[in-house]
Amino acid sequence: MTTQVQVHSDAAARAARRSRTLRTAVAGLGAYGWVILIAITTLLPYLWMLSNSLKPRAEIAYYALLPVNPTLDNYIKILTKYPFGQWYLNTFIVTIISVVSTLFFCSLAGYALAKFRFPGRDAFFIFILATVMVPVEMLILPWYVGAFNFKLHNSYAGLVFPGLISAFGVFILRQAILSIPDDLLDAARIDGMSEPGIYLRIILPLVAGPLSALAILTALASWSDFLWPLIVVNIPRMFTMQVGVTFASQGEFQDTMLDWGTVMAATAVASIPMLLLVIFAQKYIVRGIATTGIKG
Amino acid sequence: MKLKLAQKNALWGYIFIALPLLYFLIVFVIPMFQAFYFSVLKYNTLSTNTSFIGFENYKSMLQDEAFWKAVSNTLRYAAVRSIGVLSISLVTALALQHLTRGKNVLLTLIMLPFVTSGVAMAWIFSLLYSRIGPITQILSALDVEHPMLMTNPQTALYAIAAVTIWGSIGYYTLLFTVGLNTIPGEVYDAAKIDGASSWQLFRHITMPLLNPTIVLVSIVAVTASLKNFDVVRSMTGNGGPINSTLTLPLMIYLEAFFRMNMGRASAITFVFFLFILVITFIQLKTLTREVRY
Repeated sequence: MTTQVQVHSDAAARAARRSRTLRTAVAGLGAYGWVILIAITTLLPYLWMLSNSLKPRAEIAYYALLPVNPTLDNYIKILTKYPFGQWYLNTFIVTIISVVSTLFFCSLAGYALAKFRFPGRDAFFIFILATVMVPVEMLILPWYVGAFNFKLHNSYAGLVFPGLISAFGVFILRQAILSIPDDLLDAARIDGMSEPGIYLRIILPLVAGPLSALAILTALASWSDFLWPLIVVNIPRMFTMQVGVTFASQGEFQDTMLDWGTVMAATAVASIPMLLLVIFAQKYIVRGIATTGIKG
Repeated sequence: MKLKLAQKNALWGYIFIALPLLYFLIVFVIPMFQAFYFSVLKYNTLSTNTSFIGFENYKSMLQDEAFWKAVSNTLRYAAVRSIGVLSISLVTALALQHLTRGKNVLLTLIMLPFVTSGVAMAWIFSLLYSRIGPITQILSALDVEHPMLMTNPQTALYAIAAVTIWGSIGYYTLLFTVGLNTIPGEVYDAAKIDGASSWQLFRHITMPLLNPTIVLVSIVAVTASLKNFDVVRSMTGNGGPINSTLTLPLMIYLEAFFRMNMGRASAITFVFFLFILVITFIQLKTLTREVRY
């Protein structure tokens, strides 16, 4: 293939330009084709979930995409048999506590590490960052033993304590606060503003962007967390949504065969609110990932 | 006594950092040492009889066939899943750059799995892979010998990798898009004037300038793949058929909470930790290229 286009004459240049326009058009078409293919592949499993959740039991075995006699029976069954409302509430409580605590303490620590001079500061920063590498799988064993010793199992305190502050959040906010000019803070000090006042009224508003990004990522992480809630609670009243769906789905075995209609209804109940969220908050989620890079 | 300005500044620093520091100490650092302590104990959560046994847990772990099976599964799963999701996402991100209309709608659709929990994905795909699922139906229509991918030890692990690839294309596409947007447009314009082809643009501009993103994103992808628990657990229960989907995180969980063997589970977590560190280090060393403009 020729790679170097030598422009000898006008005619050659025109030909080259024409072939490039053609190639751009083909590339554009190919790009659309690929992205649409990926989008359809993404969408199909959700449609399958939805359609099966609406199928009466007799129809499940026929693998038609649309139910012939759609019914809400599966939803009614799952919602009356299991405390989905309670599971939503539990998940909501855990998420709110995690987000509020993460935002507060990460910004506080980030502020201290970015704008104060004290012996040990850089060592503290490296120490906090290093904890990112430790896998949760290692920590859950001592957490589990500790939760039992301190009677934290089957409680909100037990559910939330591993997610109160994230090292990643401290890092993000330290970087954001570093870019705030020192003069601004000094001016506030000269005006007699107290240190907590500066944190609340100057620092926090100036890092609203990174804070909202961190809030979204923390909420998502705490919403889909499975391993820790699975271990620390064992009574259905205290389940979070992920553990609850697992519990409900495993309870739907009939004659050693899963009742897929009810399982899909349970999965739909647990995932549709978040799917609606991404449709309405896509802009913020995209911006969140763009500014911070990493999920939870 | 009046504090000097510098002392006052230091004092507030300590006040602000004190609680977060204490938190990381109690919730991360002390448990890490505790986990190591557990790993040298004969420690069963059901019995009160706990005794020091040195490195016996490590020794018995290394002699356990299931452990080596889990190591191999974890590595194969991480390799397939990371390479799969990174290549598909990179192509998708590059394709997105060419789109003009409908870009946001398509991106929103691709982003849907980002907010879907691993548990929900696992149940949806369990149906798709089941006897009555469309994937099984299509494969048997194509006369594939074992159309039920999840019951065949040869295919189950890769079937799970397909689920997590499906579930994270949107997220990694977005990460690549962020990286692509940092490449200045003038570089492309200059190369185009010099008559570079699309392949040359990709090979000599996009790839080198995207290198920092590629390094970061691959490390994130590989680490996440090594740690996957929710999908494997929800789709297979105990890593079956015949341990073909048993991965290290699942093995740790089963060892600690089903066989109640805290000591052995802790020993596995240390080897697992070492794994992650070594693999991350190798990636940093081999992927990083110096960028020269």
